[in-house]
Amino acid sequence: MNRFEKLLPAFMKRFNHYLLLNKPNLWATRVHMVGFFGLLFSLLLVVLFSSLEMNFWERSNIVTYIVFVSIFSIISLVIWLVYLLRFNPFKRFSNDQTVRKPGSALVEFGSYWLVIAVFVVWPFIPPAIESFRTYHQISPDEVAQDVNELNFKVAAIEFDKNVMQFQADTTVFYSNNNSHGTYAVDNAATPVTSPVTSSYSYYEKESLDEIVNARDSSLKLNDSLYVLFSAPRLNFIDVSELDKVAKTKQNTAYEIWNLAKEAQSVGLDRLQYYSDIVRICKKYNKDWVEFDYQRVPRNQLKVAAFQDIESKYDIYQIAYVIQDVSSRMTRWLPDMLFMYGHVLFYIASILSMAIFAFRHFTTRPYFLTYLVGFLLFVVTALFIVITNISSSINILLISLFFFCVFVSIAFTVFISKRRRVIQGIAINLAFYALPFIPYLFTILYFETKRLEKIGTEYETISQKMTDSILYCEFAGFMLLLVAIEFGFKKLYTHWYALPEE
Amino acid sequence: MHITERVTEINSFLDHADIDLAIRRMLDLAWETQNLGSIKTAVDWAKKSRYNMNNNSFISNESLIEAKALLQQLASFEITATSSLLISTEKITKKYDKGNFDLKPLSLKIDSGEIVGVVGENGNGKTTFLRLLGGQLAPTNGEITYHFLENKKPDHYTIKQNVSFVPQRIPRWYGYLKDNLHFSASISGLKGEENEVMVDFMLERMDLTRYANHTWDQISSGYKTRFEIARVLLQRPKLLILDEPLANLDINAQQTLLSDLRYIAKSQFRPMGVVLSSQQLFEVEKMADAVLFLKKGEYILESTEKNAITYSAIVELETTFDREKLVSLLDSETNVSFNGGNFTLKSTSINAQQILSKLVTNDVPITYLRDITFSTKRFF
Repeated sequence: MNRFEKLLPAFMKRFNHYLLLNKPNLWATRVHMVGFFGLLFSLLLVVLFSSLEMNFWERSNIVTYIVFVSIFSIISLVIWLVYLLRFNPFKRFSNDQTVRKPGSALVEFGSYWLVIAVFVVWPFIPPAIESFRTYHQISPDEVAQDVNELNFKVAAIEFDKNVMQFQADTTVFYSNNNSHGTYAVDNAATPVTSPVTSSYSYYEKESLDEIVNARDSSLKLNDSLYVLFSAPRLNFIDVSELDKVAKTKQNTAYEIWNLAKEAQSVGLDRLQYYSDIVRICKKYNKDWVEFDYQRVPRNQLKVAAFQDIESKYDIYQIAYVIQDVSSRMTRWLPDMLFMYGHVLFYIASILSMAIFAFRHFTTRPYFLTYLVGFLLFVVTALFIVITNISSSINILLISLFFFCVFVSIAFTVFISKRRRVIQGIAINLAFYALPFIPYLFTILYFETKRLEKIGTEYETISQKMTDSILYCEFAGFMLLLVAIEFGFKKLYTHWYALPEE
Repeated sequence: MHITERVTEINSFLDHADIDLAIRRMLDLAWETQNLGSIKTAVDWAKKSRYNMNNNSFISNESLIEAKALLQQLASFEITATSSLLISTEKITKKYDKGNFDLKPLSLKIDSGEIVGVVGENGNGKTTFLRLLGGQLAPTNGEITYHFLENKKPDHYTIKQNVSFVPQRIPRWYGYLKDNLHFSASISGLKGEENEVMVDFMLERMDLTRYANHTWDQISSGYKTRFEIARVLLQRPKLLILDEPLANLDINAQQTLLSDLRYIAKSQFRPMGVVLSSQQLFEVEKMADAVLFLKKGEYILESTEKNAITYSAIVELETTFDREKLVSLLDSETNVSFNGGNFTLKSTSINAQQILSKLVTNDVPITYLRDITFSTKRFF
């Protein structure tokens, strides 16, 4: 970091020297330098992307910038790793117990985590600035209104096409104790034959209300047999995510159909409608080419006809831009933030673990760990296939068995007189497996319960299991931190200090 | 050596303008006091004196006065001498899983402040023995007891905290050399100002100040060795093990390093055991309290002047004199052998002085002569 140190301002140089003299463990991780330069680079990105000229109504090329910043992040990570691995207090057997004193391992692990988090955050800055600027230029309601207007006016102009018919779907609702075939008789007996489709859909009777309400229209033929109707796909542009931020909700296909039908009945001004379409389309794509709106689509086939309409108005291109504009407004919603948080959490945690293990280990056994892990995986998979015990519970039990074996071998280090590679590998594998132990136990618990239940309770248990995953992630990480401080630090220290042979 | 004797010695060096020696001994004495202020003053004085020496080739009166004042100040300190058994080995052997080398049973005791030289030809087990002592290898049989461990239980981390091993091939340092020293001192418990002062002290003590802001690639192999030793000394080990430390040093640097090690090892405040291996027999024998000679993994002799010997004199001689004439002028109890370069004269009746006298009397041209009666060189 000599070159980087020279670039530091005086106060940071003093702080760097203070850490070197007083907190060598922290100094060696260079967390302060990454923090400083990371902040500077972040500010640079903010300034750069705040001043960059953007047309908010057009497609964004932010992905290019994200890739560029990501490459810069990866290069920075590699440079940091190179410098990090040079100063290793652990391998110097420090006298003031820098390595052994309480909390030292957590500080070390936390520093790695923070540094990696800085590198991971950088690629999020350009889209964040873009979203911020978009919010100040465009209202989500304006976009939603444009979408509604465009969908409605295209549908209204094209309403006389025969593609505007509802789609019918004959549906059988059965009880659990009956077979499907019973209803063929009902169908044959029904007097209403025209909308009945030749192929049936089958659902359990318990879900009747849910399914019927989800459709745009329904016709009850008897207690079990329904014909369900869906409006034609008139929501040519569908940006459902926008509903989460805009007050104006997007019209459904059924609503558009009704609006278009109503417009037909009062007599629509096609020319006016067309000029409105041109205005909206040119707003999102200035190269949009006008055409003779009265031209007849090339064919009248039901599915292809929709594509023809979309093609006629160049809907794909407009939809793409509108989705792009909308994504800038919706990419920071809580569920998306949750996902980004996961990306950051997993990248930072996994890399921190790998670095922590490497810094407390000799090089050859470290890489052997991965090879052994891979071979164990392959051999176990083969064993499971050959012995035909591939139920999820068996796989979970085998995983837990392996973890117990790793931990048992790892603890033999305290009675060993020399450093053995197998012990080192077991310590590493136990270290990597530990955060996933809460997952294993949770899934094992729910799988066992699920075996006892079928039907709707099965689904409820599955949902509960999915909900528990977040707690497992948290518990696994906490378990890891506790184990680093009270277990792995001692194991690694003891193993590394043992005579080589 | 008592503190007053040391003060007298330094005064003598100053009076005879042996400034470099005076600086080193002054720094040693300052370090003995463990008084941060005194060490800092000594370092400042040393820097100024060295600067003067480099620019004017003499020490200024002002510097001399400062030195005397500093000496007076240092003399007032009470230094308590301590010494204890550090490590003992009981018939340790080593057999590698791969390879056919065996280290034969070896028993040894090392006290703090004691310097043990390990000599022998290449591949005879010197490094194996040193690594056993350093806890890097486990003995196949026998036992190594580290007496500084509180509960005598072999906690290998604590062993390695207290036993520093300097390998022959020193791993590369990264970054500024001074930062590396600060880092080593810091992880050894020297924090803040103490760290600053002790690093400055060590740089000045090993005459490395001018290279402090260099990087590893900018210094020679000899300086790399000296920097590594400085780094290790900052960690204040109880036992220092050096594998071939003289290999990359010129003859002056070898002598300086060995005499420095002797002073540092025999510090009254913090005596330290030193074990070093080397091919430089004479230099090692000169400064070591005991010398171990290893041949094919076997411990031949712990050579000191106390040990009984078979010959009254063994002399190494390089001459252009005819071999037959040489044999004839020596008595029948003196055996003459030639290794292609030097003659080795072994006598059971006369001593080395008498052999030299005979050679001079008979006008034998002498290019090189060395008395190796008590040296391990005689086993080679």
